Amino acid sequence: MNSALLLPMILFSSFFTGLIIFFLGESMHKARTFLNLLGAVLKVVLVVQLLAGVHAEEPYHSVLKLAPGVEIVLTADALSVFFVTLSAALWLLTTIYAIGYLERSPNRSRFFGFFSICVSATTGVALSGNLITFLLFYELLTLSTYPLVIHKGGDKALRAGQRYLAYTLIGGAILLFAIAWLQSLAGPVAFVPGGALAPFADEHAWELKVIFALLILGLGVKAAIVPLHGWLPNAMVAPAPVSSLLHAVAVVKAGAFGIVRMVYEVYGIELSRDLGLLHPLAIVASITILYGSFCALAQDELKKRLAYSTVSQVSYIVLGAAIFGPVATIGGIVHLFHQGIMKITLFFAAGNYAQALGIHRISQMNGVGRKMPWTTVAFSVGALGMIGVPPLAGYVSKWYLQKGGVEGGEPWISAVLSMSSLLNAAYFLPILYRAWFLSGSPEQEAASPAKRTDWWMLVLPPVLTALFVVYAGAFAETPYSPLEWAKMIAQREYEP
Amino acid sequence: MPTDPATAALWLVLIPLVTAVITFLLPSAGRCLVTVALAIALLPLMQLIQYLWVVDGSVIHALGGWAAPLGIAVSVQGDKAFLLALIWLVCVGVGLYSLRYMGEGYKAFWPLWMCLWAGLNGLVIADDLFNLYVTLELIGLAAVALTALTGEAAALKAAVRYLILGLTGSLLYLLGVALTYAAYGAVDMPTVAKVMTATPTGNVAIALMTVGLCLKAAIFPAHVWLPPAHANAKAPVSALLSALVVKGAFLILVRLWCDVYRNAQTSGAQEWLGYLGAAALLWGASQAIIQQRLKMLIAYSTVAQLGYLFLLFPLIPTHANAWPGVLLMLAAHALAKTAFFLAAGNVIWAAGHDRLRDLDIVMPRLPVTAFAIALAGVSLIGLPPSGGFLGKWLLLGVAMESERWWAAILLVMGGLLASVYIFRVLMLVFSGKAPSDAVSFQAPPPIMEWAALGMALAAIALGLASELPLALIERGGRP
Amino acid sequence: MELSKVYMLAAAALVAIGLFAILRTNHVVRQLLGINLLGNGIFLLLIAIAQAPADAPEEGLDPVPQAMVLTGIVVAVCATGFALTLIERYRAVSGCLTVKEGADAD
Repeated sequence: MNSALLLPMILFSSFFTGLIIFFLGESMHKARTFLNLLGAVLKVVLVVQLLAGVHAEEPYHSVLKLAPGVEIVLTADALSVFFVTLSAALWLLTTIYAIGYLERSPNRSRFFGFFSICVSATTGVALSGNLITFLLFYELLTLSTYPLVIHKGGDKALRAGQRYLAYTLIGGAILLFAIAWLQSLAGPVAFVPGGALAPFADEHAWELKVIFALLILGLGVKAAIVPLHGWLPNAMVAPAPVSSLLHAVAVVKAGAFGIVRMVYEVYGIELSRDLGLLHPLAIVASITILYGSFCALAQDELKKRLAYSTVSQVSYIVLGAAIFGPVATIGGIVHLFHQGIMKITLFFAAGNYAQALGIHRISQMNGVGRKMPWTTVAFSVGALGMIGVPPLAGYVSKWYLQKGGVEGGEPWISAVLSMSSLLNAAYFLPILYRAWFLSGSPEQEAASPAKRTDWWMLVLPPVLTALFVVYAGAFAETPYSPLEWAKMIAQREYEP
Repeated sequence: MPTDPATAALWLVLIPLVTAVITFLLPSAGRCLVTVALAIALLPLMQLIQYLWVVDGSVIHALGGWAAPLGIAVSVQGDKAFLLALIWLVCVGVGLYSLRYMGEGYKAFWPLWMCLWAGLNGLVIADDLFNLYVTLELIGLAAVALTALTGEAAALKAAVRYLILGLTGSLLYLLGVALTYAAYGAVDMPTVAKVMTATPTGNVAIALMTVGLCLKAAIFPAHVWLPPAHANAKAPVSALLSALVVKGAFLILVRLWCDVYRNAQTSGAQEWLGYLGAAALLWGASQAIIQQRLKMLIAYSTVAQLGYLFLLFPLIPTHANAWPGVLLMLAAHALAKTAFFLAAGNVIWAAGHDRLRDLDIVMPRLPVTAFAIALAGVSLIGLPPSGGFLGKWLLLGVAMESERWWAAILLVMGGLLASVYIFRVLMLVFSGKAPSDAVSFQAPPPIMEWAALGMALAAIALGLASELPLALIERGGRP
Repeated sequence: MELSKVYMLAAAALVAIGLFAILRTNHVVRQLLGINLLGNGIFLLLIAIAQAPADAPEEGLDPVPQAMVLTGIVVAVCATGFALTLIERYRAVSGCLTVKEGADAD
């Protein structure tokens, strides 16, 4: 295929299906499902093609010029393809899951329309080749997720939506300011391996430091860095597929991905170190990791506990970016993928508990393992992965981060990571214990999952992602595994 | 049809003027005639743009063969052609909408609207201060009459107030024109620009003209007449007033300060226009946030958005990106605000009122209109890739280059404030309240909903395809 | 004192009285009268400008300001007629001849 067309096609495969879905009547269930799946499968097929191309170091570049100094640029390098693959694959699963989950609920055309546009925006964030393009899709992501967050309607959802908007729009405004400032100093800034700002470092060191802080501030809102995480636990009012999307695929990831981009491809890791930016970032990330875990301990609502767990886990990625050295880079980047598949497994499972048994709280989870074995096995794999039990995916990321911390001259990172793993265990293991070994009150025992013919749509996605968690951990050294890609990315970042 | 590009510009004034006369005589044919006029006007417009594109020069025409300074000259450069096209586009959107919206009781709408259009086109192409006065009066009177169209007490009151302030404003402007003639012996803009030296009379003249035009442009604190007038008019009228009419006075101000009085040592005054813009931005947005009626909210949003145009006023002559940025902001606002007001018209059509509090059961039933508001909102907030974003981006670059940090921060903050009032409206769509049949609901005709959405899409497209308009603006240079 | 000076002083007086009337009163007909005075003041000023300077009487009258006055009078007549109609309609509907500040919402 023509390489100039491939990137826009990946972008629009979900965008146009989203637009069409808006205009489908509420009752046209089959057409909508068909379009949803068509868009998702098409995207996966296209992404696989892109994956092969980028592995062979083929260049991909599409440009739309808007004004002097304003160009919409799509590029595909190893890092962006990594993120695109994650989002395309998980989107397919989430689509299947959402179709099953929202069966017979109102406003489905609206939901799936925004759902598709949201994924297009994520793809755009991943594929953007310069700061303006990144900003464009970053804001589009905000706008398209807002209707999803408040999909259920009602005062509680609207308030959560307001909070979400307040945080993300202010974050976007700060980002806009920082990018405009950067452009006035250095001209249009494209993403280049090794960074593009080194020539300006001597003259504008002070400004570059301030801009970096602003960029992190703007991106940190979506990446839920403490104290900018306030919107995330509230946004849990959204339906389960949306939570999965927010946490594993789209919003939070876009923030973390953005930070990785800024550190490696705008500033460049060496310039970031020389300007003394990495150390503060590492401290902020560590605080977030520990704070999120402590908060998670205190939650009884299952989705809120998972939300705080996200706050904590996403900062692993930031931490990886904040330590100088290829090993830490590998750990951070691979966690982008690993956290995604683990967290989405957990959210799928949590949604299943709510859907089948009406369970929202951890205290109600006694004995669910026997009633819903498949879901609970998947949940257990996800949780153990998060704790970092070998040979699951989380173990691989943590191991690389730990090693990277020592090599990068920040040995205290090990303490943070061990502490975090302990806390992870403290808030996940009791859930597993309840689910498998305790039995609930008589009426809880009496309740059994409603029988549905399309139940497979809810069970298959978490089982598949759980299998992948095992694969990504146990077979981390095989070609095309997430770890191998992360190694390739790190190699290209350090030897541009 | 004209073959000479210079007469093409005049056709753009003549066509609406003639249509105004005919529709006045044949009121029942108003719809058809206006449609035909809009279609015909496309010809001279395309001819002008094509000419500027190919020749890259300025079209100058001396009326009746009398050259300036004695005669009256009109000229068209790229930026003016851009504005003419913008006016036409807004008129098309308003026209499509009015086909269904303006019932038999509003026959006066068509001739008045055509007068307004003629006046606006005349204002854009005129090159002489006195002619500008005539177009200002034409626009002002037509606008007041349109405001009063409903005949309701609130609209009449707003119209009378608008009239008094408008007439005062244009007479102050005329006084300035008279003094300009006394000081420099000419009212033709290029001639005055050439002989311009700072004299006391000349300074008084520019001061008077500026005050008069500020009244008409509704820049803070002279904005008080605007919200009631724009909010109480019929929806297409509100759209025309907010999108185009207030911009007319602004355009004259820019030409006065940046072309004619460019060499005057009066930069202090220009700075003050920038500060007024900043105040308008904050005041308008904060008022929009607390309004209880949808149309009042939109009207205050206009007050705020006008602030953007003035914010970097002093930099327009000196920074290459400032004028294109301002023009893009102006055009994006015109399109988005048209969409917003037309959408508000749909809401009122459907619900019978525009009290925000009670709209949560109506908005979910108007998905196309809600989309129009959302897209218009994207441009008003200044989110990419809308025209509003691109304009803001260019201005942000100018502000940072010239180290006006306060202006840069205001540009970004203005967007945040706008998002507060835009989402106050959009939230209603997601209220989750089931539409009940007990509430009276009258579905607006599809063409009205799609006209609003079309205008909003145009505001977005302006950003995505801005390379063309920006290239057009550069054509022919500034006089 | 030469004629043009007298005209100018009279023009200034008219402008001042007109502006005073517009700003001072809330009564719209009076405001309209003020606007007319302001306009007439400006026309008088233009007439004064058109006079040949005393030291060069051979230049004669300048036609341009006079043309402006002519146009201006036409505009002023139209505007006044329209304004009176509008004000009359306003009085018929609302029964008053003032427009108070504020209190416009709803």
